[in-house]
Amino acid sequence: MDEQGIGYITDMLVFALLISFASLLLVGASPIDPKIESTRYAASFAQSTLLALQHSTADEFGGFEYQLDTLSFEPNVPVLKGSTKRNLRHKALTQLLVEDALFNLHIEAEGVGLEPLGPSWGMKSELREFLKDVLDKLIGGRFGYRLIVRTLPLDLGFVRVHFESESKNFDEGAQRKLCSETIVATLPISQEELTRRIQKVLDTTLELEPDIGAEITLELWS
Amino acid sequence: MPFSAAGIVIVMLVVAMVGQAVGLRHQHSLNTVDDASSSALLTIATSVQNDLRAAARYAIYDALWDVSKNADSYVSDEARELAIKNLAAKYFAERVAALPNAYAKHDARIELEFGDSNAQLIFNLREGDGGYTLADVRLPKGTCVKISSWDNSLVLELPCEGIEAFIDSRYFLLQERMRAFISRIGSVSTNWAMMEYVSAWAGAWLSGNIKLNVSRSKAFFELAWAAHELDIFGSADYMAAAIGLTSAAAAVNETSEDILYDLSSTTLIASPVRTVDVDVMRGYIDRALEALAEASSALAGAKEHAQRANDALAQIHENMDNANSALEKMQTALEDAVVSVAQARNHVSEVGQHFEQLINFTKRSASQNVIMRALRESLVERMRVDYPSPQEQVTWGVRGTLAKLNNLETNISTFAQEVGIENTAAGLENSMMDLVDEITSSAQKLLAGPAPKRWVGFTSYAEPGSYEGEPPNPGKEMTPVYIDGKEDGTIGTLKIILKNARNNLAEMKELAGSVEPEPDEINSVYIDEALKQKLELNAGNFSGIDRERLYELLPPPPIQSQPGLSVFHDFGIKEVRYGREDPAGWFGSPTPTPIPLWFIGVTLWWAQWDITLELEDGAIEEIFDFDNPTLPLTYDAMGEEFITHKPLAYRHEMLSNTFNFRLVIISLRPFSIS
Repeated sequence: MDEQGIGYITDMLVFALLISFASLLLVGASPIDPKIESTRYAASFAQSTLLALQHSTADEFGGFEYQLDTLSFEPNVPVLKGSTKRNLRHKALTQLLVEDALFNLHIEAEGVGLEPLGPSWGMKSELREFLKDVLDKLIGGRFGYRLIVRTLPLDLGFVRVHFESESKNFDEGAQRKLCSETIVATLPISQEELTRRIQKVLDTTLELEPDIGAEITLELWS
Repeated sequence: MPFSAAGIVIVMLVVAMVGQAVGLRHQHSLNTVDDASSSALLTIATSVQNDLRAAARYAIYDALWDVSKNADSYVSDEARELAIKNLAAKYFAERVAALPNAYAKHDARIELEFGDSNAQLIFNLREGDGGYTLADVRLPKGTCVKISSWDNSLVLELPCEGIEAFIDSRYFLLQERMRAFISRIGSVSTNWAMMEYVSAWAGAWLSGNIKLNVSRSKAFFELAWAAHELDIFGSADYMAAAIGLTSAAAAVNETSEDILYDLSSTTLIASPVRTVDVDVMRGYIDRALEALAEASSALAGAKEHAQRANDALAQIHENMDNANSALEKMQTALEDAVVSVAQARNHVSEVGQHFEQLINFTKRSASQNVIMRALRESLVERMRVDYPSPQEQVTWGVRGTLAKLNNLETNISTFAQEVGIENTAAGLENSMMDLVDEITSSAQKLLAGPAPKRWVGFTSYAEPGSYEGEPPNPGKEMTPVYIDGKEDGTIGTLKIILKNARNNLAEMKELAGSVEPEPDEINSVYIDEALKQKLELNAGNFSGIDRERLYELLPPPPIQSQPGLSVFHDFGIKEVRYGREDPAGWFGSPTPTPIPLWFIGVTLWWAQWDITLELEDGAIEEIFDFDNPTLPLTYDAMGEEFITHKPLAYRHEMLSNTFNFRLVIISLRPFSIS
């Protein structure tokens, strides 16, 4: 092989190398970031879902009802069948969430509840199940999700007043949080009334104002 | 190295392209973040708007509860609705005052601005489908939700001056039903009266004794109240009714089941005099009277025929040449007279048949109807030893009349046969005159209304409706006996008896009809089967329990699914008063007042009371929206205060505390009163 032949082959090899390099550069040069795009879609989806929770009534998802628990506070009363049922079909889903938060607001000292369970304590578990069904329908398997309802804890050192509830559907092992959207809704009680109730349970005057807001956070997971 | 040079150029071009793509990607990412951010801001702002709507809803819940629990404190529906609007506005103002701080604690970007602080919040309520409540809330002008992005590059401002809220509580339905309950509270008196009526009627007919008892009246009143509740609300406070019924029944050594059974079983047997039965009976008497009219007419015909025979005889006297022809005419006329008398006899026989049919009709009906049984007994049995029964009078009357007609027929026939034998005109004339006199006299006797054979004395009381207030003193009166033996009957007598019987039947129908309830009303005593089942259940032990407070949390399920309301009532019966109003009772007799109807052998036994029941002050009627237990409200139990879902309650303290009706019993059988 003469020198011209070697030069030609070298020229071709360099050319091939440059083309490969250019191709590599082109492969990674998309004007759209799929990660951002999916995050954006998830955020938009989460916001729509939160709006749906505010506007949809329980009736639109088959209705919601729960049973009052009366044994804990009216043990000797002849309770009639059917009178403990609470059918809340007309309530918006966020209404159910904040009402549940109010009914089951936990006042505890070192992890021990200071007041007995109220008649509506059973609403929490029923609502969690119901919400899971609702979110499964709304999100429809596109994402994993976690809906968290919580109040800002009122921490008085020895006593803590708070509420937290969670409904979720995702495999924690192999997932990535795409977005977390939060709205604020207030509890169905006035500030003064909530303060009075907590003071009554604690039998002391509160120096801090309890929070009447509840955060409703929806996380979507891939 | 041309290829390498070309490769370098290509690489440079690609690098330039990639550089541009990276720039575009960065820009796109920035846009995406902006989009997501503004979309998130919109979501948060909308959620604040919704939260304001929820705050309005909770303010209305509280206002509805406060006003409805004292519904009777307001003079009209409008006043009540105005109070709800004002209270709701007040509660809403209190709630929203705390909202800006609450939002700020969670998200400092949220600002809630209320426009003119002096402007009033305006709440308007209106009725939605099914009696639900719709609210329009007008916030001060300029009220808005403001939210900004973290870098303040984007500020979103949503106006929020008007809110529409659906309230899932049927305030308007409760108001409308309670209004109906109060305006138709008279139904309680009607229901109660029917129960007392049926019970008294059954006592009069079955045991011959009417017992008016305070405990029993209380039990009936409880039932009547529950029946009215069921009618208006589709449910009743069956617990209270069962407790009241059991307690009242125990006071007379009965059970609530006994009382319910008595009411339902007596409904079947206690039915007033049926108009149709009386009309059928009057039909038989009318036909008998028609037969009597035809008998009278036939008898008048016999008289005319006799007169015709007499005229033929006069022709012989004037012209003996025509004697044979005149005799033939005379004989024909006499035969016609015999036929007429025979016809009259047949018609009188029909009277007996019609009356017998009347007796048979009452006999047939007697097996199913106690009234018809009593009527039959009245027709065939003597009401007093010295006063013949209607059947006796008619039978004797028919038999006596037939005997007289037979006798007359025989006399005319005998004379007709003797016409050919008598030779002289003068002899014939004398016999004929005797015969005409006899026929005329017999016909007059048979047709004329005779004087009574004797009189029977009795004590007469004023009849129902013939006086007002205090009844007049009873007096002595006499009633005639027209037929007192087998020979006493004439057509005129039978006419008098049957016409009076007809009038007595009409009088009985009118008297009974004027005071007895209609069959429809008596049927209204029928107690709904579902209510009855609830009343028969063990009501449970509520001693020491505040039922009203308990119902607020645990309202009893309604009896009927629609409209889905629970009912509570609480009343005490202060007293029950019975005032006798019929003349015998007024003058202190323990028996009813007799009203004899002699010509049908009936004595109507009449007793009348003015019955008044007075409730203790503060009778409460309360209804709950059982289907919508949606109000988050406090509930106290065992010294603790819980918040839970309660149905809206509508509570009314009753103003009408006195219930009154007149019980009138008219029976064909005598009864005692205790």
